[in-house]
Amino acid sequence: MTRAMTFIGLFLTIVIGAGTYWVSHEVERLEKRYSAIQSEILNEQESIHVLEAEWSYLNNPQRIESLAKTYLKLDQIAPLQMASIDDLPEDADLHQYRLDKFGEAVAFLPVPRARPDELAPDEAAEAMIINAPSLAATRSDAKEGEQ
Amino acid sequence: MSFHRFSYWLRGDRPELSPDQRERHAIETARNRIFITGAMFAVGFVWITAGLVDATVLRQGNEPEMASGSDTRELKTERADIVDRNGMLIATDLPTNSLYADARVIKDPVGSADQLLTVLPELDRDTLIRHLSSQKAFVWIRRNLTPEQQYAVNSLGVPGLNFQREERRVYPHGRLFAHVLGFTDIDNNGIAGVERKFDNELRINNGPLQLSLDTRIQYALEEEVESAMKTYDAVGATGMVMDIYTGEVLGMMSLPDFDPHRPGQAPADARFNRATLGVYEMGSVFKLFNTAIALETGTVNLQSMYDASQPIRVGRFAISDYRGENRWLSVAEIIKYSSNIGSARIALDFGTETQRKYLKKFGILDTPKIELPEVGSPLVPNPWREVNTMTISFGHGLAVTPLQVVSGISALANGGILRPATILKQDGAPAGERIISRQTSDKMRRLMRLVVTDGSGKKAEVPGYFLGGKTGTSEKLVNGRYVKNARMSTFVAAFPMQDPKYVVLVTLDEPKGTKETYGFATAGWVSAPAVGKVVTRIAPLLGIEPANAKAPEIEQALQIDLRKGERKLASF
Repeated sequence: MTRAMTFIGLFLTIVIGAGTYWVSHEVERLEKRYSAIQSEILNEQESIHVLEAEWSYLNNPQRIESLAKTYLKLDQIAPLQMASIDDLPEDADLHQYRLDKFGEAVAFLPVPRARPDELAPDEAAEAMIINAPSLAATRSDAKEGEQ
Repeated sequence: MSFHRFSYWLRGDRPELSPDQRERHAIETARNRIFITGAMFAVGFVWITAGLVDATVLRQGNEPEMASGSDTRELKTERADIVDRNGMLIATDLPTNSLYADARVIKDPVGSADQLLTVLPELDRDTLIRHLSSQKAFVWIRRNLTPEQQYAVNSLGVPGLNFQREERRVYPHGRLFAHVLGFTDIDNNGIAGVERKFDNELRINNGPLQLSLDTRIQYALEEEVESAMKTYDAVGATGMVMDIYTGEVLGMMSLPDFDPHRPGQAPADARFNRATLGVYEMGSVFKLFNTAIALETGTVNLQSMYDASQPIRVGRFAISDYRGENRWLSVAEIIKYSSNIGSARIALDFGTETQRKYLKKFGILDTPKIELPEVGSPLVPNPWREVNTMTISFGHGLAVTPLQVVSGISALANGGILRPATILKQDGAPAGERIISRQTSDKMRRLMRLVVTDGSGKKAEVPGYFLGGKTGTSEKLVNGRYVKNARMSTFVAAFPMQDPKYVVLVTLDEPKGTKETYGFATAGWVSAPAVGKVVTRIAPLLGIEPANAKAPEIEQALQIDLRKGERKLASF
């Protein structure tokens, strides 16, 4: 009985000792790995940081413009190229008819929308005149200092 | 109880008994004591056991799944990043390596120097030899090497040459933000622009600093102003875009500019921020302020008539009109034809004190407040005589920064509220100060639109965006004399005028006329088209939808009567 108890005690001591050793070893190993991962993260963060700077550099509008000019057939959007959804003819309009000059019913044709730069003909003519100043008009300047 | 008896009691002995009884008594005492001790140990073990059971069974016994490490390190650069309003990086720190020498270790300074020169040929041989033979423990050889250079130096294998890891300020967009951002010295201290103003904040590095500038708008502005400057052979130029409801500067540039990575190589003129540090007489742009004062104080209405048929003579000065109409003009016509005579007469009607009071309110007479160290103070006449009142009415005799003009015009157009200009991104509109009434602001919008539809700013018109603004051409003052052919040509415009949201300013310094402009270098010919081009490019970016000029609500918001039958005698 005592003998058996002794053996069991001895066995338990060995098992617990080995277990403790294994755990402490494992903790050490994990800690090493943890700090390795930490410095890896730091390295990655630094790479991300450098890549962010590069991303910004590559997004330089001047560069994008020159790339767009080389590879795309796109130009600056003119104001009259922009329209809103309200400018589109409605579905109901398509079923309407109007009478043409011969009195026959023809399908409704949506008219083009008014352009932002549309001026009445006389206004347009006037707008063109101002571009050429008469040379006689350089008579006097804003200020005549004789100091 | 005497001490003698106490000592016997303590031992469990009783000397008065017989030896036989004493023995029995001693055994009894020992048993009792062993029992008490055992009981105490039992209590202790039960306590420990209970604690163990509690810790392992009753409470959550297992380890937490996720270790809560307190030593998680974050990458922290020496200086914080600077980003634009959309989060685009515009200034950052990048790691580099700098070469230094431990001169005590260097055996053969001349040989080492010659070896180094094969890799870094731009170093000075004599200085290098002097440094390498100095016997100092630390001498800088070259800061911020490229990775290739570092590799080459390493391959030389010269003992005593070491690398120091450093951080260097990098501006991914180069010159684009040069004047706003400023630059840092070799030790990463901010010495100009935002880098200097926010030096402490950037060092503490609590995340990136967000500016109100927009890279896309800045680029459109820079490109158009630069092309105007080239076309008209100007010596300098400045451009600005401001959100009139928040005071945020969306774009600010000054030409000539410099490479912020090598600020030392640029001449001082290129490092000069004309937008905030330069003070200039802005010319006829001031007629808007002048008219706003008159409308606000009620000395005139839009149809009041003034005699602009004769130049005004004041002592040795004569105030005349550039391409004058030489007749009576209404207030609206004075703005339309940009009449100096008319503006001077309007100013005389409200007087010097009112002019000074209102210009002060508009922020024209004080040093502007903006988060930049390079800010110029306006040159205010002292004493402020009647002749100054007259010349200031059309923008001469008072030199201000372009920034003040942009802020002032923003306030005239936004309903009358002046907000401090800022280059930091704002959440919503900051508190402002009312300088003119809403009604006056509404009239100013109509007048500004009139300049572009019928007046000197026609070249700025962009269909659909309803620009309104004012041209200003002033002769430059050189040694106290106005020089006829050296001009500052300014155009400042707000858009879209039926509900203004942004103000754009372009100033060209000493532009020269070309064949296309029939030799004219006035603002209407050189600056106004540049503003128009800038607006064409930035309006879609700012989400402004082009509108139809025939829309009744727009016509109603912008229509103006040029004149009525009534005449008002000028009090001159």
